[in-house]
Amino acid sequence: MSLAAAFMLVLFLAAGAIGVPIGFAMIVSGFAYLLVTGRDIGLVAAQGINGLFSSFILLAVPLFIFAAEVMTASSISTRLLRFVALIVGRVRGGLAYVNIIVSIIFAGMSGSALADAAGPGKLMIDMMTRENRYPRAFAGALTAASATIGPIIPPSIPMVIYGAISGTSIGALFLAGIVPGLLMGLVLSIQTFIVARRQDFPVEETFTLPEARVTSIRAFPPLLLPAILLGGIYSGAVTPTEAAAVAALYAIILAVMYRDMTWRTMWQTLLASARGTAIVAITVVGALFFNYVVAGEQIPNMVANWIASMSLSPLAFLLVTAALFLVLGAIFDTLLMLLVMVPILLPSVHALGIDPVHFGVVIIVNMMIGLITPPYGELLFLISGISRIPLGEMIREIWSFIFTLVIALLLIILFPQLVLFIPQAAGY
Amino acid sequence: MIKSFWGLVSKVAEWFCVLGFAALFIIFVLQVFFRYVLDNPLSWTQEVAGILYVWIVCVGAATIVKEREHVAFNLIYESVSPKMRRILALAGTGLILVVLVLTLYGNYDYIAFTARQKSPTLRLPMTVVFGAFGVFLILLIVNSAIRIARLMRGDWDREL
Repeated sequence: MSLAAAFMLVLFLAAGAIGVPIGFAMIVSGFAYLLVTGRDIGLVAAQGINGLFSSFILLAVPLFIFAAEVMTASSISTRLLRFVALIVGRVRGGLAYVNIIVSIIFAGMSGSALADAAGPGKLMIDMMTRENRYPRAFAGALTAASATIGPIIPPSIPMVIYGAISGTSIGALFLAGIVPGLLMGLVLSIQTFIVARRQDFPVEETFTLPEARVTSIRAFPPLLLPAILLGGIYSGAVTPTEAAAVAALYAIILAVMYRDMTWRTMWQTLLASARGTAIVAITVVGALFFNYVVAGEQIPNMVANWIASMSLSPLAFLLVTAALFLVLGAIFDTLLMLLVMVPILLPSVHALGIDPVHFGVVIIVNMMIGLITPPYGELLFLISGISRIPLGEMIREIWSFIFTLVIALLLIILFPQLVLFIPQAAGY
Repeated sequence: MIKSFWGLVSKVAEWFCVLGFAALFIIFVLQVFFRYVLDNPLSWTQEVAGILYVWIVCVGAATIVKEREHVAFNLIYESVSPKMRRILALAGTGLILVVLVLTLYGNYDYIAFTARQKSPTLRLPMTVVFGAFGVFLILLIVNSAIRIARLMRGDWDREL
């Protein structure tokens, strides 16, 4: 590694550490590198902007963000909630299972954990804490934990970004997330089953038959969306980017049909989508140039040689990476880890013969657990903010959920076939 | 005066991003519709969507996204006293301002050069794409300068 590259890394770390937005810190330290080495300043734009402009895959990001914003602004979540409550409400701790199942269904329509928490998550907490039926800290922590399923079951914004920077097929990644996502739902349900008996959680009241019919009919159109998306991607009929457009269009049609959309909410939805897109994409622009320098300086190969010198088995490598990402995830933002760590580790992944699809799913599950790990757990902040459940109470409750999700993570590390058999069956 | 100027810039940027995003979505729906329903794919949609994408990101990142909404490592920043935060904010914003001003000419040079390159399908000069980055740099320079000016004033705590 050259001195100039070391200077760039130090400048990036220093700027990042004092709170400069990560995307700006990457662009600025990249410029500083070019100034010091006397190379063409235009390389930042040539790498970063051109990467954004010419990547058909990255266009899926704004479309999935838009779809999620439309769903959050509509009554889709309410309809799903009522329907699932109808089916599983009658068991002990019914609403807790509803929370998990709605997260799974919503995960099949949106690609963001934060959207899941802000949409159905908020409604779930309101329902669970009404008349103090469930402890509020449990309700908040469960909502955070189940929201992590959002980007595991397709569609998924982190998978789009991982695919774009690693050159892995998005279709394969999407299909690979199905079983791990369901597995996360299963382990959370087992935990709920145990806690519900111990703490004697309430059971929901019965529905009358006409009520059940109305609720089912109302939930039917939103329930079609995951089926359309999965079918389209599995059969290869649409690309993930086109699936994103279809998801957004379908969500808008439903929102207009249900009279959830006024011109004013439409404006707000578009503005929020543009804002969310700019936040993600400017970081990607910075990272595209940053990683161009990092790769040019042979840093990933140095890391690969260093890892090879330890002669780790693929399994040991995955376990060490998972432990590393759990620690980093407690402190750093998902996007930062995805954009900085993945390019550095990829050559090692290839050298060890690990399937990049398997690796991608493992680290994305890892990073989602990071979203609920204190001290820097964005999902905890978001849920505390929208539900007014004190952060401290939720943090005490979240550790058992983290433990449970780590079990699911270990299972998908130990059994790659859990991840890979669906994409293989689809011919990837 | 400065405040109303930046207020106007932000308002224009908001309109630009909202309308641009709506256009991006509509163009994409058109693409899907023409390819799958009419079986007659449009050639221009993807490139125009790409151009809009770059412009929304470049204009939006420096205007409609507030400083503290960006992806950032906040652990240190949020654990120190307001006085220390002011120093960190000044250092960080100052770094952005100085480096961007130093690279302004080099970027201008590159963006002017891209006028000679042509986009793949529409044969537009690539300045249509890379010009957005120039606008981003200028907006970020102005934004940083205003932020520094505010941090230097008496009511600096409102800027943290």
